[in-house]
Amino acid sequence: MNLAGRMGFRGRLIAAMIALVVLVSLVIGALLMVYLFEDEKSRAMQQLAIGERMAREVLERRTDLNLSRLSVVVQDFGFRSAVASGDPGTLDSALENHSRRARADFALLTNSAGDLLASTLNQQIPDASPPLSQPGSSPGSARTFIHLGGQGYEVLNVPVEGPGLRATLMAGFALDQPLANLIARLSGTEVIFRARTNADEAFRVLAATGNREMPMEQELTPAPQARSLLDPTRYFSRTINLGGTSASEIEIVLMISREASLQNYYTRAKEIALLVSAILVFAILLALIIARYLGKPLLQLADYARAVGDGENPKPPEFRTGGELKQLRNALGDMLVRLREREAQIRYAATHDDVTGLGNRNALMQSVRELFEVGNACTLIGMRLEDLSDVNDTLGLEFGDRVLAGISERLQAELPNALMIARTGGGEFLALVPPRSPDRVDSLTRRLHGVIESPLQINNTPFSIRAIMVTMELPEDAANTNELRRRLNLTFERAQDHPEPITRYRPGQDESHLRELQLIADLHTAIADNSLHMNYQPKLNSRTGQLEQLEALVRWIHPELGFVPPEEFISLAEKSGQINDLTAHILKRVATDARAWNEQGVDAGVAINLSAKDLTWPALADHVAETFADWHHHLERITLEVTESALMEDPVEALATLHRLKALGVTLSVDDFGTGYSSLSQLRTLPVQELKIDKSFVLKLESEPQDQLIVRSTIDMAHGLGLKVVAEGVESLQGWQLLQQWGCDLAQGFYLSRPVAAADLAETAQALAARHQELAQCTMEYSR
Amino acid sequence: MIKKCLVVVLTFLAWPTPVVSSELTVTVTNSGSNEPVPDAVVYLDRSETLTPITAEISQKDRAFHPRVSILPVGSRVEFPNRDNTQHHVYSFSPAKTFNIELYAGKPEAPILFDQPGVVELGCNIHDQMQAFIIVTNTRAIGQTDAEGQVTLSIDAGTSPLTLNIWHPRLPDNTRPVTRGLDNLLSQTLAIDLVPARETDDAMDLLQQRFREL
Repeated sequence: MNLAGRMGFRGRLIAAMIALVVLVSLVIGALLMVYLFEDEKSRAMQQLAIGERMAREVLERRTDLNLSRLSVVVQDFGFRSAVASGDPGTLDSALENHSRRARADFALLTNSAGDLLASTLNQQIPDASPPLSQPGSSPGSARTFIHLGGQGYEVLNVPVEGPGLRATLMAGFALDQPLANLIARLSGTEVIFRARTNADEAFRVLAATGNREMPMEQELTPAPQARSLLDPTRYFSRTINLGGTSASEIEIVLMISREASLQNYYTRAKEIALLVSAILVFAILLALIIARYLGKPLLQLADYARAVGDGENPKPPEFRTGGELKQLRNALGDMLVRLREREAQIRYAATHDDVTGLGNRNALMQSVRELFEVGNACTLIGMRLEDLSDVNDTLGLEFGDRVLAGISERLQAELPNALMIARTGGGEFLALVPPRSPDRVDSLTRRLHGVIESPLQINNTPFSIRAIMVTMELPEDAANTNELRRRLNLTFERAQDHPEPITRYRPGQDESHLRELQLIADLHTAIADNSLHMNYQPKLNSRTGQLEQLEALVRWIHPELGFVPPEEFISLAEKSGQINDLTAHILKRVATDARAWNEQGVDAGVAINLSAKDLTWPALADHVAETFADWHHHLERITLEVTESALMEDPVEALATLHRLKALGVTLSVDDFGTGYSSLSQLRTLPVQELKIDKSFVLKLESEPQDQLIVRSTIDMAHGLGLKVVAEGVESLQGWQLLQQWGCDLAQGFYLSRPVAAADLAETAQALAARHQELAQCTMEYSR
Repeated sequence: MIKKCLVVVLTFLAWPTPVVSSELTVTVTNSGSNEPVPDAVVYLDRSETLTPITAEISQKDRAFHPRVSILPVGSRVEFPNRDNTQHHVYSFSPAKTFNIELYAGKPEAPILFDQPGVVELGCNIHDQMQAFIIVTNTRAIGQTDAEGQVTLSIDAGTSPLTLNIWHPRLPDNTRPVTRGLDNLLSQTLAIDLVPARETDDAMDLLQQRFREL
């Protein structure tokens, strides 16, 4: 039995029971001891009292006997004659003779006046005071006790009353050893006769029974009434004062050896101690058994409750005891049942969709997880109902729920061998079906799509809803639930843009998506860490061939992925909402760099590309103004380039922004002109001062007559509209010269200069200046 | 028998006095209870010449008859035994010590009482038998009546007188108590008496058997 583990209820029960038993036993034992002791003591006292009565009786009897003897003596005619004769010799001999007849130890004879007539003693009686009268004895006789010469005597006075005679006979009878023995034999106590002649003196022992040494003096002092258990004296005693003459005192002391009288007591105490010990052992055993008996069902119940708590389905313990424990057990059983029910409800709610009764996302993910664990393959068919929110909004949620229920029924009907069909979102259903060949998957999905989109009868109204469907092969297309969720979403997103009703996940899609995610995250860091690079491409005045402007081009060398094309990360910045931060960052960098190169002696304006999203940024104008507050040139030399498509996206807002920028005084340029769809009328209304012909028209300008026509007419048209024209992508001298001829205002391109870092600008500017002859020639031709 | 004794005493009391005398009436009471004491012998302490007589104190039914006798000095007393048992009559009184060994019938000679005083008689084998003889040498002697009164004739001019009072129940009945008289008129005198001893008239079985013999 593991006591340490089970201490607690059982241990406390045992402890309490044992403590109770010990307490009760000790109290009973102590009471018994005290009572036994008192009993023994009172028995001893009683014996002493009996002894006293006995002693007194013995003395009385002896007195009576002696008195009657003496009365015979005093009535004896011879004795009387001797007394009457008055002859001292006769008197003495008669007294001696007759007192011996009466067995007196001594005798005296006095006349009526108290004068001593005769005596058998050599010495004087110590006290001759009148004897105390004793009731019950013959008239005139008296008894007294005296102490004489180391011996105690009972002295009897008897009158001698012959006709005409008046004398008194005093006879003494010793309180001797035989008397003591007699009293001791009758009373069962030790007997001591003792006397003292003075109240201050100690007692002298006259006679004593027993052959042991004389008891200590203090033990013979009168016993105090209250004697306790721990009384140190060795005897219980009782003192009988025989009175005596005034000067001396004679006592009989009766004693019972305390040890002897308590022998019984000690024996019984031992027995009681044994008995109490036995009861204790028995009680402890009983307590252990009872505790075990009482504690066992509790432990069983505890185990039962623990098992219930652990979610097991244990069997209720069987035990014989009834009452509360049984109730408790039944209650635990009921609890278990209800727990199971509630658990089932919760589990059902957690894994089921309450509208359709299908599994929910959790259930599907669980199934997929299991599938992955066992390594089985299967096909996932996903479906999203389009316009479900519109249905809910217009026809009510109830109607929407009916649609969902109808769709669910169809799915279940069409996919009888599906491993799992779940509704995983508002209008999203996923089904796991056994794997099959791609063609069969395709045909199945198409059939399913047809069935789903066929009209439903809801409230007797035919209702059809559009759906897009995706398929994935597991585990080829996704090896864990995270991948599955991500790639599924990706595929759904792609399907949304896709004309086909069915989209299959293509491997690799997710990887590019992941790259985008990483770039988005890292771009934020790059902006914050100022780790983007700025390159600047010179724009030259086609007439003078002089450096007039530098177009800021942002470059990003990713620490892991290397060079990231600006188109990619800018579009990601637009998607992830970081474009405004990026633009602001570029504006600040450009402002800083421009100040630096201006100090190095490079005199050039700047051109900065704006994103379409920048035009819907209301704070853009303010931001530009703030950034370039201490711009070292006129603000006109700051050119902000916007694409045509950006202008098309939200024309009203973009226009408002452009107006604000124009009000600021910066130059606005339409980038990539010619690739968009902007109409001339629209162009007319735009507050721009510049057009930038897309490089696709310029790159092969010298060899493509159509491009030449477009460029030349665009230049003319722009000039007609009062706009400056910038050409980009100049890669050859011929191109450059053509542009010069046609009056293009500015141009840029690899022929002129590649984009360079800010630090290299000074050098580039010098190189361009050195080529001035070559570049300016055209100007002369043009001017010609 | 009692009447006879009384006659003897009365005769003695009625003895003619030669001297002209007056009479003294004395009342004796018990000092304990103030009751009159009958049968107390009262006499003057005086010495006169009286004529002796012969009296008889018989023993009958284990008792002396009479119990109290008043005799002039020199009188003789016969002790006839009229019981069917023998008696041993004796006296240890200083006034007269005698001893008549066990006898039946009548002793050979009467006993002479030649000294005044109280003689107490006893029987050695019947302890309860008791008798008193007041041997006197005065005529002024008498016994109190039922009222405790006695009248004595006394000579004039003899005061102060010493009066002797004796009673069997005096604490020491071997001698009278004396009282001084300062006048000769009637006197009330108190004496101490011990309580009367319970008379044991009932005979024990042995004595009954003796009587039946």
